[in-house]
Amino acid sequence: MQVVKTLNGDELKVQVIGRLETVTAPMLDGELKDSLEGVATLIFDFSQLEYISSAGLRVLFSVQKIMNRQGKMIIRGANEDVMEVFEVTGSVDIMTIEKN
Amino acid sequence: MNTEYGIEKRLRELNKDLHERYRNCVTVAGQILGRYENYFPDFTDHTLLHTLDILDLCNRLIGEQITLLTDDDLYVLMMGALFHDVGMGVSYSDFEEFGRVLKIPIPANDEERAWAVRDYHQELSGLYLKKYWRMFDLPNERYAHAVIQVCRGHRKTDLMDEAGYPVQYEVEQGKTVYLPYLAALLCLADELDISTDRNISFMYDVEKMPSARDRREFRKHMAIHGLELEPEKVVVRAWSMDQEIRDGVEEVCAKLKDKLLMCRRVAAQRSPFTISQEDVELIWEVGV
Repeated sequence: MQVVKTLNGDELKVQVIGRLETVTAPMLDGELKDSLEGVATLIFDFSQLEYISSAGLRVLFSVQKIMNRQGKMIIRGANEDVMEVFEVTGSVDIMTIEKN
Repeated sequence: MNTEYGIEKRLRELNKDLHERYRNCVTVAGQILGRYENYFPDFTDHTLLHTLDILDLCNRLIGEQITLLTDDDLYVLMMGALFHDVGMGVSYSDFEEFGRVLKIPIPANDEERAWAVRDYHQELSGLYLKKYWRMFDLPNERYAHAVIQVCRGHRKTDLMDEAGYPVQYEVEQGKTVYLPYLAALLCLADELDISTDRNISFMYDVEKMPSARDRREFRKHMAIHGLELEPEKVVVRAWSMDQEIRDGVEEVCAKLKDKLLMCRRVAAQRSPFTISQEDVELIWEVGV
């Protein structure tokens, strides 16, 4: 898995490439831990995310909690498999997920 | 409610990877179970709070036998506790798909659908996990099957069935879990979570519930205000002046005793473990 971060003012764009699951989710968590200070808009670009499991969702829920306090979080570009996970787990109810 | 969950601590000590896999599912399961509340706001609590109660009760039923349980046993039990009611929160499309597998008659309206979901939810939970187990990072399909069987076993399933519940089920080469005992624990813990604590009264307006069956179910639960696990028996404390509710609580206790005896028999005959409680005592309190 690869994480590419682009900061533009107070907007942070995070592109996640590969699979976000039990082995790789802690890497994303580590990448984001120190990057959110002063960020008002966090955009996840999931156009190259192949799959997400509960481990990845846990990281997203935790980041969502932080962003609820300091701005907003948007998920873009999720493929059908990833969207299915969001829908089946009720994640669509608590996160802003823009459909393709 | 006791928050010292020995089983979770024990899993963390024995196997950090399985513990992390479980922890990753807690928030997600909470989200899925929360959906059920949107579908069925008047039903008894089946959310994450109920799951925590169940873990606490399992912890107490296991007691000192915890040292005999392996990391795999604990993981399967805890995942079963987390997901056993997930069938209550399945989407409409999954309900239609699973309903065809289970041959559930097509409900004529929302109330019928709600009762169908409640009546079949252990099987719906099983089918949900069968379809989606990969997204919950279960290590392999055999672990998924073990968790499914524990979930299904919490209601209306024959835990003496050797084919469905082999005494030791292999989840990986050389690693087995005590499937009948784990399912019996969950089944009993679920039945034991009957007291008023399960339904925080201010969240529900019983009188406005549209269904008479719902109102009666709720009043029974609200009348039961204490449950204690003593070494040899389960003590239920209740109060009500209403004879219909008192009769209902008696029924609940009789059902609880049946479940207790069944689960004791499963543990005794199909595992090296025991369930020490052998009776249910109902104490009617005065002037509560």
